[in-house]
Amino acid sequence: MTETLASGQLLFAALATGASYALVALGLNLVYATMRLLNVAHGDIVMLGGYAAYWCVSLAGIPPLASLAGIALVGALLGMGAYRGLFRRMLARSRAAARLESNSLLLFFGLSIIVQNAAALAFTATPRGYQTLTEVLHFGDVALTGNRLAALLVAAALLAAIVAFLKLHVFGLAMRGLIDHREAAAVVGVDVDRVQLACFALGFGSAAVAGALLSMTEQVSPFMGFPFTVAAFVVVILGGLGSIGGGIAGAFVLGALETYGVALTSASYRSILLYGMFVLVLVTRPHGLFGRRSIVR
Amino acid sequence: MNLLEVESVSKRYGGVQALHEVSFGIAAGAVVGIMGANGAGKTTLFSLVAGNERPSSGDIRLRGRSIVGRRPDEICRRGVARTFQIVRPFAGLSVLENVTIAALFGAGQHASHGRAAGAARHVLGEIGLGDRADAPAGSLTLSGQKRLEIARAIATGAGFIMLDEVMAGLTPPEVEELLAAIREIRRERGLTLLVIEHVVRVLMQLCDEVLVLHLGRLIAQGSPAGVAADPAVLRAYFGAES
Amino acid sequence: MRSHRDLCVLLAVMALAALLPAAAGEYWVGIGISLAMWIALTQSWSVLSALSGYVSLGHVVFYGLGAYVVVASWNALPLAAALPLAALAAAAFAFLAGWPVLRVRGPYFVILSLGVAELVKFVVIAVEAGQGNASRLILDTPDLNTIYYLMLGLAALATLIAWGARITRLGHGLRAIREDEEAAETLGVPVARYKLTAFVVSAAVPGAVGGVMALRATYFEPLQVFDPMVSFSMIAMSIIGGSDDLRGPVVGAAALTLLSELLWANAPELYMMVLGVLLVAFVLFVPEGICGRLLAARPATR
Repeated sequence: MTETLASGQLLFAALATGASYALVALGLNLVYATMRLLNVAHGDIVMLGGYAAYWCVSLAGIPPLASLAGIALVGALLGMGAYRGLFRRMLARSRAAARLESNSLLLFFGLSIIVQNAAALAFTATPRGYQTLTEVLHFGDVALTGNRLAALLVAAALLAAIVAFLKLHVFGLAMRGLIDHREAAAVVGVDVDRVQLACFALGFGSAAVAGALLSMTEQVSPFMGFPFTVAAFVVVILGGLGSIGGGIAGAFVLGALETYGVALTSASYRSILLYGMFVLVLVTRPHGLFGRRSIVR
Repeated sequence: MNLLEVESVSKRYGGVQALHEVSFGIAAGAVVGIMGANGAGKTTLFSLVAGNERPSSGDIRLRGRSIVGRRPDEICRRGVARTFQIVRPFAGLSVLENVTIAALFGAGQHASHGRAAGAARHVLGEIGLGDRADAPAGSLTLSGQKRLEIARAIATGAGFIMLDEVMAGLTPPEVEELLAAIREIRRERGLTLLVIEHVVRVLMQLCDEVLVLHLGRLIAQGSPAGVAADPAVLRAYFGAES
Repeated sequence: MRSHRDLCVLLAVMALAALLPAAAGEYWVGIGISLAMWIALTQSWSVLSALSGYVSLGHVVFYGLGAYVVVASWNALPLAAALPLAALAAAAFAFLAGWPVLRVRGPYFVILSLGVAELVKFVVIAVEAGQGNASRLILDTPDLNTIYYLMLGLAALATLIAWGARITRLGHGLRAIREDEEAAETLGVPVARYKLTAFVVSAAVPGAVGGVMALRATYFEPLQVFDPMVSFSMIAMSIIGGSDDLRGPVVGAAALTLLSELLWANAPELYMMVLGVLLVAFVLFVPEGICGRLLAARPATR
């Protein structure tokens, strides 16, 4: 059993899972950290990105790696539209009371239901998949299909690029400033509205790309989004809100826990592990994700 | 035995030491004032006594029994009430219901909602909010909401009430009016008061004794006139003489 | 007092509804069972969530546990024991889970409750799989009319409990908690105890309801029974009907049961979409719900 645990195959699976969680969680970190509202529909953007890639392949024959840029763009536009159309108004109202926060959550849940069922109506609930890059590559004792490797590499590259942007580029710094302390950022001259818009664009865009990458190796279905939302929340809470690096680290921790946990027990325990982590993480941090702001009881 | 005994209480928030070994006692029936710059630790002290937070070290005793670690509702039932510096009305409930809650659950423990409402009306009359009883609490002006905070604290039936900057933001006539009401209520019910105030006139007129907090430490304690002349206090407020 | 009058009216209507099986056929009795079920569930949910502001998005967990208890004990216990046991099991779970879960506030509580429900669902699936069951079947269940009377009784019980919660100290304390939990505690409201009480009370009837529905379905599959849409529907019905009102859940349940009768057969997804749209619309524009709107003209006397 130890040999299987130490296998490169399992390690690769853990990395792949971690990378996709990291990409999804990154999006959530950006959107959530600026909004301070829980977007439980985040996983549904992943689902839409996956379907977009699927339709590109089946209808237009465009391979997923080629359609990535387009999907990212559409995702970003969707994010900007959502911000301008809905969330900006919600943000203004939510400062009034915490009860409005619970109501906003219900709102996003309602939106999620609408999106999921609309997808089910439009695409039927049957899971869809396609084949791409299926040649098997060998690295020592590890056998991978090209699609898994490509997905991991692209995800890693994207993560690196986004992290670099946030650390080095002025705009990225502005984002981090906004996440850290909104009022202070405004005072030092950050155009809060534009940066928030950019956070949404980046957040939705990266979620859509994560979905497209996922579609290369997994089937897409209308209700696949929720576990990703849950995973993203676990990761964001584990890593610390607004901490991009923490989010990435947390994603790989969760990916490893899931992969090795399933290897030790069985595939049917995957959901128990995920939701167990979710519950555990939320219960042990009763002050939510803003430990600095509220009083711990 | 003092009604309240604070013994070497400290409170630390991460890297910030909000209170450092503060000790004092308050006798039953006294009116004690606390003054100090913002960040001196005054509201923190209230939170510790009311049970909203726990001291990092030290003891707080009410009538000789330690209340450290007790939940706020337990402490309230033992006869302690406070107002919040930033008012926290039950905005969606009526003014009367706000005060009725206090009468129903506080130290007075009225048996039924009806009885509690009756007691609440009486307090609202005393504090000058009688005609606004059925209005939603969120619709009151700031001055009204501050009175509501006080009314709630009184309606709990507590014998020891902590008022946190209740005069802040009021015009001079409003201050006079409220001061008079507080004095009358205090006299009638034999209350012990601990009052945080920036309005020095109020402190001088209302209090038998004044405590001065500076950067978490108690730097002076005594009669209002004595404290005003205390060199340590002058140094803290105006800086040392060269 | 308004709530006394509301209670009498509601109970009278339910007493009348007992005549349904005599007056109409199986199809209508079936609808009656659905309606009574949703009333029972939503009234129970409102005791916790409408009063205290702790919105539970995972209430189906109590329903599911109740169903599981009845189905698992079918061959061992008579129904008269199994149904109360279902309610008790749900209440016990609420008591145990409540300690850690109720420490979490606001929107985090909402998603945590959903997470707990999903977790329990997958644990039950695993337990059943371990025993070799993908699903369970029960035989010789009571006839439709009996199930109807049971459900109607539960609806009446839930309404009574919801009324009782509102007029007692518990209700007043919960409302204060909803407005400002810390201020309430500082004024003497025993916040932790009241939240747990509301949680446990809100769990019992849904447990029994789950048990009765198991009798109707005769079929228990965890994935189907622990459906998050059940939780979602409870919330939608309460918000649409008006969460601050004893009649709210009845109005909301009636409206949505009607809607589902029109849409469900052809396109369940469409029904869910409409439900989502309605929830969004009401949260944004009519947060006080139908009953709240109707009352806007008259001053509130509570």
